[in-house]
Amino acid sequence: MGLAINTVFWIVVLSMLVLLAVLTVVVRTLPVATVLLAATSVVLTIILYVAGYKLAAVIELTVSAGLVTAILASAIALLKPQEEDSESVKKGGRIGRYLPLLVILPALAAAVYFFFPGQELNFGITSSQVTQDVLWSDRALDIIALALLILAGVLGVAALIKRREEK
Amino acid sequence: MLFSLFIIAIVLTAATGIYCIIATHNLIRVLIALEIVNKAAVLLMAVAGSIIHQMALAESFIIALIIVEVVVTAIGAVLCITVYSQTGSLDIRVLTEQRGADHAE
Repeated sequence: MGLAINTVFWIVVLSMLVLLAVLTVVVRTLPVATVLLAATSVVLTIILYVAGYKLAAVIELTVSAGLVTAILASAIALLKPQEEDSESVKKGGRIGRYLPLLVILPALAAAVYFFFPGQELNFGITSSQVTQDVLWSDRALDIIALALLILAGVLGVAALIKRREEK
Repeated sequence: MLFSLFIIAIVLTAATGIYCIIATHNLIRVLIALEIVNKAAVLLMAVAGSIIHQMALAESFIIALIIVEVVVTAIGAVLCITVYSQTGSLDIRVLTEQRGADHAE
């Protein structure tokens, strides 16, 4: 009995997601880690798009793979001339620190596979509501909270930068 | 089968991020690890939405998660820069050693 093409696709994509996440953590230099994080976001975008979350996929691609990568790259660029990744100096020590992942991750996978009860998963079966309606009517308070959160973020960043410049 | 695959991927991705937060001493790496945990949360939300057949509701939560993620990253990045300018290092252990240093003076 062979696996369906659909299942093979999900196995490949989900394996890529986990592999890229592990590589992001294990890789030695911060710029490479940032690029791998963006690649992880791209794989998550593919998953969301195929699963039917098209709007979320577009936002994930533009914001997580684009904006967040730009923010992290800017921060690393500002700090890198002054200080190389302190952990990269001790090459052996860094890799050794992540060796337990080789045991932890397979053990967790086995535990979830054997002990987690199965569920029917049907992507693409949407409810009668569309996302725009949910966002602007049912979750209107969330939109206001998110707008305030973005404002708080902008004010926080501005205040921190201003304080730094004063010093 | 498909549900198990997704749950395994979610657990492994989240575990990788959490382990990195525990194991690393670099503040930028902590930020990157938080991003990875957030990706696991987004995937969990997608799976939950398909189980309860409320994909529109799940999609709105995913969008909220992504916005929170970018705000946390922006504040975190500026905090990293500020911490570096104050202490001259991105090492968490340096921050721990400096705990209460201002009051001691």
